[in-house]
Amino acid sequence: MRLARFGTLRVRIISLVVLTASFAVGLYTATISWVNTSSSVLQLNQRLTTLADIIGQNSTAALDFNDRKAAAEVLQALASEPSVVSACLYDRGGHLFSEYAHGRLACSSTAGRPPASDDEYRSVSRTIRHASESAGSIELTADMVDLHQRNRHMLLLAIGLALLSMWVAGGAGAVLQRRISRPVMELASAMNKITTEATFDLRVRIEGSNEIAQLAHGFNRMIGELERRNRIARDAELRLTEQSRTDALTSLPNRRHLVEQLRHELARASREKRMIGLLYIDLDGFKLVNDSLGHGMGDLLLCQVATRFASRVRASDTLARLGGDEFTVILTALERPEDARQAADALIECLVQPFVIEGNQITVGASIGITTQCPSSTEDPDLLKQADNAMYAAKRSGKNRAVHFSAELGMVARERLTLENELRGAIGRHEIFVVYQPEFDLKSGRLVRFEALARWKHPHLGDISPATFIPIAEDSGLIHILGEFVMEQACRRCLTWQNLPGAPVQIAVNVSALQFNSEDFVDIVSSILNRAGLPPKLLQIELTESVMIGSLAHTRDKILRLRTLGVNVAIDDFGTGYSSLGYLSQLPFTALKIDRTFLNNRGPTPESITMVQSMIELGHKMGLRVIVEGIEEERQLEMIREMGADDAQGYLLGRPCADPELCSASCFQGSIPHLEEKLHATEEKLAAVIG
Amino acid sequence: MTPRLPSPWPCPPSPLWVPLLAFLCACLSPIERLYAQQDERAVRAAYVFSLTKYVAWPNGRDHLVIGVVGDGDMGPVLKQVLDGKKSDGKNIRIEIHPSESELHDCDILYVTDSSPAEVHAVLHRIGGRSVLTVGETDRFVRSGGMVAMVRSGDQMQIEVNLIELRTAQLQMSSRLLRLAVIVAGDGGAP
Repeated sequence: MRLARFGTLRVRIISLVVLTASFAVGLYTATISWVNTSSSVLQLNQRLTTLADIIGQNSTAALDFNDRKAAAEVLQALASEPSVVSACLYDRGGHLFSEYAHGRLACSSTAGRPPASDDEYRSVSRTIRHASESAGSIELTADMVDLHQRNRHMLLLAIGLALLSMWVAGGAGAVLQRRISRPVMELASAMNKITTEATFDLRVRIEGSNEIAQLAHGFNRMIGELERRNRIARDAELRLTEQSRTDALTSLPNRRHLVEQLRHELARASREKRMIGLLYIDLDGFKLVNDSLGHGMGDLLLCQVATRFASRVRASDTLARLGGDEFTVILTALERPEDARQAADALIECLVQPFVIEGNQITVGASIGITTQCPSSTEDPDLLKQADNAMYAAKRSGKNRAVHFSAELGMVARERLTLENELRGAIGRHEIFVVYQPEFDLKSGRLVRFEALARWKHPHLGDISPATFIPIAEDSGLIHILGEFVMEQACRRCLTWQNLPGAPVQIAVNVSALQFNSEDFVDIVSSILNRAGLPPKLLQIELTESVMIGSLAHTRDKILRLRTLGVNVAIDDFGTGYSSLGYLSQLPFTALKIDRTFLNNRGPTPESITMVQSMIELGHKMGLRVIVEGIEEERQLEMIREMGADDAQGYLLGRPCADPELCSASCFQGSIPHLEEKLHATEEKLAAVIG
Repeated sequence: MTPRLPSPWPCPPSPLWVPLLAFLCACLSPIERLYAQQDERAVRAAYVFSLTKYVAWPNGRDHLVIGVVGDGDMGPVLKQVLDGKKSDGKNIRIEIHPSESELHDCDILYVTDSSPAEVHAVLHRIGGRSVLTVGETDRFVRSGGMVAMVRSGDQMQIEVNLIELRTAQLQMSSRLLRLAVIVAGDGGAP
């Protein structure tokens, strides 16, 4: 501490100034004292000589006329000269003539004593001359006490002045120090302040134009430069932060920003006791667009979707893109949970109008998961996960709809995760197998084809419904492997039937829209047919209406290519999905399969009968073979036959079976089991009624 | 102030070998010889010699002529002691009983053992010339003489008549005046 204090500029400057001044003053004092002492001794000698001469001259008459009294009187004049302690007047013969003694020093009786020249006494001896003759001599002796005393006084005065000079020098040093080190200290403190507070708007006051001022000037310039660079760095950082929080494609907030914003909004909602909602949106059919039209087109579509969504949310809501085709909306300040549903419906509705991108008309839907957080809730749920689960539920329940999250959905989501993991190994473990359900020609009653249906028998979970695992396969991408596996199995099996009675028998295979829209789907079908050795005309590919999502031209082109191969293409589950008659007319299907829901809703109602009738007529008018699913009762069978449907399928006619050669052996005999009898019985009843 | 004679010298005075010793000593220094002799005449001679150094003459010649008049025996003593000596670079010549023409050449006139009439006559002879007149009595000074060496006990007192000195345009050193008794003249009456 003490060393540090000694090392400060302040102490050093003052010390230097004081030391320099002390040295100079000391040297000056010593020199002056020495010169003063020497000169005062010299002066004393000179004065003694002069005095001796004067006294001598004044004593000549006394000597010449032998007047001792007069001589004594002359010598007495020396009383006014206190430093002269003795005066000895000698006559011409060297004998003591008169003397004057001020102190204890006495004259010798004869002249010629060597003059004293020590520290105590100084003496001079002068011959008295008058009229060219010696009249005698005089010896004057002075003591040095007075001289020494005066010299001492002089020295004390000099030392006093030296001390005063040092004090003044110390003061001057302090002033100098203030002028040098204070600005330096100010600089240092400014630097400290800048370092600790990280503020660059601080500037040092500049006074004068000396080196310190130049230093301060340089410092200010440096701080200015630092500030400039800091600003650039901060701007760059802000840009980076902005970029890291923004989705590059749509310029919407990204997942990271969303998570932050959600946390923020949750906190605010909790403070303000407001309800908050979260929508998790996944586009339906986007994958198809991406796969069929390329990523460039997909990106353009995403941008347009983002624009449409943005136009439908309030300014206070946060629309974000999580990645891929997933969007989210944070809904703030909701009154009721229904508000969230309204918002979701508005978003779905805004996608109805097709997008036009580079001349292509593209339609996408949206599956939306909704979750809301009540202000009273003390839980801290993972809203994003809830909304995600709800969104999957929406997907599963038919897509293009919004589903509100519930506790059950959470369970389903967990179960679904388990199944997805199980499904990955299921094909390899032969847990997936194919069952076949027969379809009959209503006119001839002959077996025309089997529909191949995938089944999953899990060793622990038991039979798992296709309604459960097919969406999982679609979401996880396993649908391609699964689809190919089923198609190949079915084709190989179908080939074996061609040797049985009742041949030719077709095989109908359901194809997911994902499969259908993959680039090489036609090639895959072709290679499966080749491997199985099945004639293409025996294969009927069944597509759901969801294939119509995406590019109509591409779908049409692909169907045409399949038909060029010789494969039949049917539209499955007709009347349930996106059915657009406009699309239907443009796609070259070979068959139309009316969904079972039209017959199974607690028996046919007049409306459903009318609709089935219309659909059959529509199909026929478009030159399609019309197949009706879900025949469970004989009256249904009779009804559709009368309506003119071409083929029928249902539990009444045959359940799905892994080995149709055994369980439906009679089918291969050429007709529907007991169908003719049933038909006859019905006709008889009718005849009886009519009759 | 009372001038005193110097303290007795170690040599006792002797009528027989005083002149001889005085002569011998005179070869070295006339004053020492005179002091040694304790002889009043020698002292007077020595005083006369000293006087030459304290008086300035207006004409400033390179020699001094000392005339001796009167009946006393100072003439030979002065002749013996001072003749041929130099005082401040000036040769001293002694003229005993100078003639009228010689008197005119004198710078100092020593008047010894004379009656007031004689003194008066001598002073008259000198007239207004710058001649230092030296006598031996108080009366001499009062009678118009300038300097007297008056014996007072064992001391020799110098008496000076300043008026006469100034009249004769002679300058006497203040150093000597400090020792002397200043006496006013009484008009020259005998």
